[in-house]
Amino acid sequence: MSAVWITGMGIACPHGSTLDVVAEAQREGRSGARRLSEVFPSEGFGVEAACTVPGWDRDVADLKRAFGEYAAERALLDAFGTLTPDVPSRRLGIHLASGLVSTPVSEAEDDLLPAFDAEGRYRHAAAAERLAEPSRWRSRHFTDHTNLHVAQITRATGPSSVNHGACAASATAIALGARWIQRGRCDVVLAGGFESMIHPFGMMSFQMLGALSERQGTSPEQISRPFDRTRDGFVIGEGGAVIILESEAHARARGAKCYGRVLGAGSSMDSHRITAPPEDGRGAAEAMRRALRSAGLNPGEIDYINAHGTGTPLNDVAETRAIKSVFGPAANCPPVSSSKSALGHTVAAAGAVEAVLCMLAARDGVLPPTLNLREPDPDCDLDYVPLVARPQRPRRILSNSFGFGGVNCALVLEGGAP
Amino acid sequence: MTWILSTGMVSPLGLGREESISSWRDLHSGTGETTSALLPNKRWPTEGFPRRDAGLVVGFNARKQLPDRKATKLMSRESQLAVYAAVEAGAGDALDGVPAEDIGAFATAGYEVSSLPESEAMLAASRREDDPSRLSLAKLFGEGRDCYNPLSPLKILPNMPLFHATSTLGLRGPHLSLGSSPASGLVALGEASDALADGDCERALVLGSDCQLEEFRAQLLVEAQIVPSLAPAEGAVAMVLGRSPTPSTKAAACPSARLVAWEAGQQSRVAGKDLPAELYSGLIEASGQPDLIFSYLWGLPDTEESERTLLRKLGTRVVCTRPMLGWMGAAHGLLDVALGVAEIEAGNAQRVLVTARGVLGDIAAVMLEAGVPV
Repeated sequence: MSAVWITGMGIACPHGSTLDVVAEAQREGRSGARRLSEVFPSEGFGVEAACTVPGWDRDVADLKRAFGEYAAERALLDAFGTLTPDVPSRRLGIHLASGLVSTPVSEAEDDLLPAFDAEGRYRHAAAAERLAEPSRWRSRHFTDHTNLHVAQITRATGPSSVNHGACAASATAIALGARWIQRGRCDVVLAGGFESMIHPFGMMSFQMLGALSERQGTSPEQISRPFDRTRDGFVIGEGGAVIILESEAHARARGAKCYGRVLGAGSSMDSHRITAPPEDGRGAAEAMRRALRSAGLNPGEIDYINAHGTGTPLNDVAETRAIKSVFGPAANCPPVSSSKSALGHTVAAAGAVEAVLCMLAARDGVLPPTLNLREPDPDCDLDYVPLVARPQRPRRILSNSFGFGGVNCALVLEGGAP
Repeated sequence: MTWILSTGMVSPLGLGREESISSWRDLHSGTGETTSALLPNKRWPTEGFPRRDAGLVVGFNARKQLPDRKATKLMSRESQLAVYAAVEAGAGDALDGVPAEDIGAFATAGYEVSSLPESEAMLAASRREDDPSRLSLAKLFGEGRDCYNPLSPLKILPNMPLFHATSTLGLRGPHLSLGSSPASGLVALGEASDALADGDCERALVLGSDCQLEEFRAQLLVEAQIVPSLAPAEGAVAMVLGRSPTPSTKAAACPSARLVAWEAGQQSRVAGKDLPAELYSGLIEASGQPDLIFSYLWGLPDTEESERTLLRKLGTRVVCTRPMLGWMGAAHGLLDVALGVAEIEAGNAQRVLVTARGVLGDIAAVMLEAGVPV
């Protein structure tokens, strides 16, 4: 697998919405968590924290689409200094990831409740009548709007698709975008993902699946605790991240800057359970092995692993076992940390958000910390870079993303110019 | 070169490949009793809805016809259809002797929403007493949540058809789960072929499934101006691809179908006016003139004029299945491919071009060709 350059990045995440702000927060080990009651009245809900993107107006029809469009535009400006790069339109591809389109409360009130009668019965004819009226909500259910937006601003006519691979979606989007370049389909690909589920119906879905931390009575910053003995689920996050993937020849010809390279990628399926990985983490291990193989690297050549590290009781043990099955005993494993301890789980955007964080870590010479890891779980016995960032420049990085439905994807990234 | 080793399908044409192809021949030739597979829609009261017919799968009973009856409780309708099609495609020797880690899955599925019956009680219980046009979050987090089936969130995750189909078959190779556009099915097929060529897997299951026959979902088709031009429909198609033919394809007394090339692109109001011509001419240049085209056309003059002009220029036989079967969303591109494969196997075509276009301008096309396995 020939390497693909990363020449631009755009991000909006709970650390902030510029690369410099995000990098600084990562270096300083800050948390992006806040009280959920500051986002919506959450009394009685049972969940106390969320990681929202600061400074964004939440009263829009589709916040996640806004994150995706913003991240794509920032990535274009970062790579090319313009939203209309000088790339032949057929050679510019788009592969973005997003998750399910859950219904915000305002949409239910505007579009659904008017069809209920006084007794609480849904009247089909009334609902049908309302279809003639405009709705600011319905079109948001077409998840490829962001692809179309990017195509319109860039005039791209290359391949364009949406990835729905759950929490591994945007890592898979980066993997496939790199493949498009390696196979000669494209010179440049915008790849990444976007997500926002921080509203009552969206969070209820995860809560009912038992995935969210329901820890009470502590500060929101201390709730996400990957690899800690007291972890009890993840804190939901949101955001968007897009990276510009470019063929080496194209990037060199225009004198592009290089944040780093995608050296390889691998994916696998657990074929096990919807919401639980196999205890031995064999699917995750298979994805890591495939990624290393496609990069042409041995495990010993990896300097740092950015873990999926959700903070759910099952994931963190299975991922630790998977890492050990690939890298050998704990002493042979490189440092591992979880960015979700600071940003929460950005779901479909997670792989892309974390790929950007990895590139910033390589640029800045720090290993991102695993916050709140004060009581290590005996079954999680690796070096997780606890509590504070570590001054150490990782060059070759493995970034893991796993999702409900047993989908796994691992990326091998290299920081800096070749 | 990628061989299409097996197909499985469930659609308004019927249950399973054999019944579907037989119905298709009757419909297409005009020798059957009807030229449409559409039926009155009884899934919800359609009074006032712009279409009262639908492309329904008739006679499908997931609890009786799928291998794991208990698991059907966790599946949406489109996941159930996906499993049916995948099991049919995986039967025979298409996956024989290949380790689970070497079989990839490339899927596209429709956009899932919570179904009305599962949400109705929750919404009704969560209305504010002083103003029933608004929701009370306190009630939603109390009695509203108690009314909601805790298994429902599992059904609406967008990669669930992929999960249920592949876990039923026990596949553990690479995966790709694409969005709900009909063009995505052709992209999934193309990506599977490329993954085989790259050596990422030895076999690939390609899957498209969709169920537009849920009231909330069908309402979105009105917004997209698909309804009333077309009726909502449901179905699933699965195929197993390989780099070389299996013993049964070699033994079959008919030609087999191969995927020889594919292309994809994005049209928008500012670019790509001639994209279909560019894509199709690229495929024709690479593999030759088709003698049959399955086109996405369904009657929207403003977005389809270039396709019509192009097809007229090519002067090839053209088939449009959407008016006959309804809008099968994510499954439709692959349904056309499966019918194209059937035409090749029946000796009715040597080279088949299949085109698909999503509502927001993504376009894909694949070229199939007859081959004799040796």
